[in-house]
Amino acid sequence: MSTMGPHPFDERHWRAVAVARPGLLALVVALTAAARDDISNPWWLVALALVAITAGLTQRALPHAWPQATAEMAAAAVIVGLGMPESYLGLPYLLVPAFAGGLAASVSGAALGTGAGTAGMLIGLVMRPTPLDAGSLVSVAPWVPMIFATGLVGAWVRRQQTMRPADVTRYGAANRLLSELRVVSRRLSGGLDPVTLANGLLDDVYSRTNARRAALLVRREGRVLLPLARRGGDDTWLAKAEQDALVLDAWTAETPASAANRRRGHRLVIPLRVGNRTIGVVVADVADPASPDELARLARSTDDGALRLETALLFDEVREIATREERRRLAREIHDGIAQELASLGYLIDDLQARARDAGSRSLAITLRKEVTRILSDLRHSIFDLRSDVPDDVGIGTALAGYARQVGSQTGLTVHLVHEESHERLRPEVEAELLRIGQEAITNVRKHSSARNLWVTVAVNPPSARVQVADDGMGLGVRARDRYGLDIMAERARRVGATLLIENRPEGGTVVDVSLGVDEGDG
Amino acid sequence: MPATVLLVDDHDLIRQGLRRAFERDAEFSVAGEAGTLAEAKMLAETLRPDVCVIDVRLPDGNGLELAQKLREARSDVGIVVLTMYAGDEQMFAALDAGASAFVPKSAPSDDVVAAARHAAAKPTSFVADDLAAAMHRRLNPTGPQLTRREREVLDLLAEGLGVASIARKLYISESTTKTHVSKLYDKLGAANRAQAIMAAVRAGLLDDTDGE
Repeated sequence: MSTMGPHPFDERHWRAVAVARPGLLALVVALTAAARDDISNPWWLVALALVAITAGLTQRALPHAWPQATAEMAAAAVIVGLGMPESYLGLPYLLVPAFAGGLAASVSGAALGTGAGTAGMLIGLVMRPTPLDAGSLVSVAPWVPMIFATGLVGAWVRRQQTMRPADVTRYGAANRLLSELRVVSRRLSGGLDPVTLANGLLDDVYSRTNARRAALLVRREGRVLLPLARRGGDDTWLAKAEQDALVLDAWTAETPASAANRRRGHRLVIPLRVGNRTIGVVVADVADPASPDELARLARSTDDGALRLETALLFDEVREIATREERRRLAREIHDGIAQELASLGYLIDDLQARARDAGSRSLAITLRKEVTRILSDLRHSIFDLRSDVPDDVGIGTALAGYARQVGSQTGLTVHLVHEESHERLRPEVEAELLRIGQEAITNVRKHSSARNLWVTVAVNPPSARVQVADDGMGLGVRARDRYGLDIMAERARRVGATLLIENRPEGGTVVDVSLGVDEGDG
Repeated sequence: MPATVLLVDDHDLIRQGLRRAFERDAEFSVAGEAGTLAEAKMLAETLRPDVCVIDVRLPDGNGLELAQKLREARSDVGIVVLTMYAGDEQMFAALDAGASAFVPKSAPSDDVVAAARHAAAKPTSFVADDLAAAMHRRLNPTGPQLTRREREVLDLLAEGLGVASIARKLYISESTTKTHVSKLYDKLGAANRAQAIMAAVRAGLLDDTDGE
């Protein structure tokens, strides 16, 4: 990864070191010049300048690391030690390699620098021809903690800079992913559709293993396994497949498993892995057992698809959360705004009606009031629709049935419900969209059809589902003005990969039929 | 002496409209108006109105909370809950809070005055437009849920067929048919065929308008 190399932040601090080095050297020179009366032989100053030049050149040529800083420290310290007591003025220069040490290798770099500095000075002091007086030794001592402190400052700066680039990198990665996701989702709506991806994954396994029946199941937070795609066989085996020990084994071990099935053939379970997590499994019932090699090949081929599938599921979930938030906001806005204003307008009309002297204006006010009440009722229903969700504990069938009964009884419609739900659930995003399509269809019946009966049929057998809303009203002809509502229903259906059919009922009225992955031979 | 009313709603125009409606009626006089929960609590204590008309959604809290506080403090205060929200939950929440009446904001102001009249006379009873139907829905939260097979059996039962004929028609054994029938009775809370059909019609499972 390119992000492991030197980072701009990193470079900036090293540049500071490169500037500080000649700066401190100049300071040492200036101090020496000021005290030139006491200086007999400034050879150590020349030596320090040579060290500084070497270190400066090395810093440019080599990657920044602790050995250079330590070497610079050791060399400078030995020179200072040898040149004592006059070289006392050269001590400030040691702060440069001290800072560099901390910058290069954190606290251990600071410690190493201090060690090298102390040792270097001691070596220098020992090597000098004449021993040093105690007073000079004492005056050097405070510099040791000062060098260590400077090293720590370097270490602290290093910490700051290594933390920030990491975050920046992460945001950068997230930003890139999201931008890509936006482009992908705009260009190919099929590219991020979990159902299409799941079917592609399953088809691959299904055809390669010659399976009798197969299914792809994913797990979502707080829920049991949700079937996303299914091939062959009826639906009853799926419920048992979920509790199959083989599935659980493959899930927890993150490796494909195979075992003889009780009645006939064998069952393969291939986990869908993303990194070191399992997001789902493919269960396939086959005639002949698969070899471990074959299993491993299957698992490898599904890994790539698993990442795409999880991304698609995440994308769907995020979109659903955003949709729900926006609907709530819209409900609040209608409730607090236009609805209240219309209600107060209604009260004003009531007043007008009460004050009207002649029969003509009174009947006009009554008509007006009826119209306002009707629009207000529609608004109240809209707010109700915008606020309703599929509850966690009951499925789409129960939720839509409750809605139909409520709306039906308020509008004098006789509601006929048939609903069949298996204990498995659809994905929450799919449930939400199906509920909204159902609500829209029922709202259309309530508003426009002058129907007496409303039939709502919900059949859920994940991943298949079917919602049918029928009425005995006026039929499609008069609905032209509600084209917009129909378009929204079609858009919602497309989003979850469902087929929407709107047609005249043979006996009169309209039928709205949404079906999702209903395969032939399956009612 | 006219009954005193306290109007609680955060919308000026709504309060004005309601005030005019109450002033048209000789039985009532508007004692005060409040736009917030806090204001309403204070006025309810100082004015001690006979009836409070309260909107559910207030800027600083829920009107139902106020209703509950008022009811706890006084059993003789009439409480009319006004709401823009549709749905049974709101109505039952108002009932639980101790309201005397529940009126949607789409209803004419005369309905609000009528509800206030009831509330003043019988503060501890409860009236609402859709109460009976809502009670029915609450007692049968989802309606009976029949499987496809049970549904077929029910249709044939309604046509007057016996167990043996149903079994033949559906290509299933008589004992299986009997199981379906007894499950059907269970779900519909019926003891016999006639009760089952009646219950199914009530639940909207069978079409009683059909001649067949």
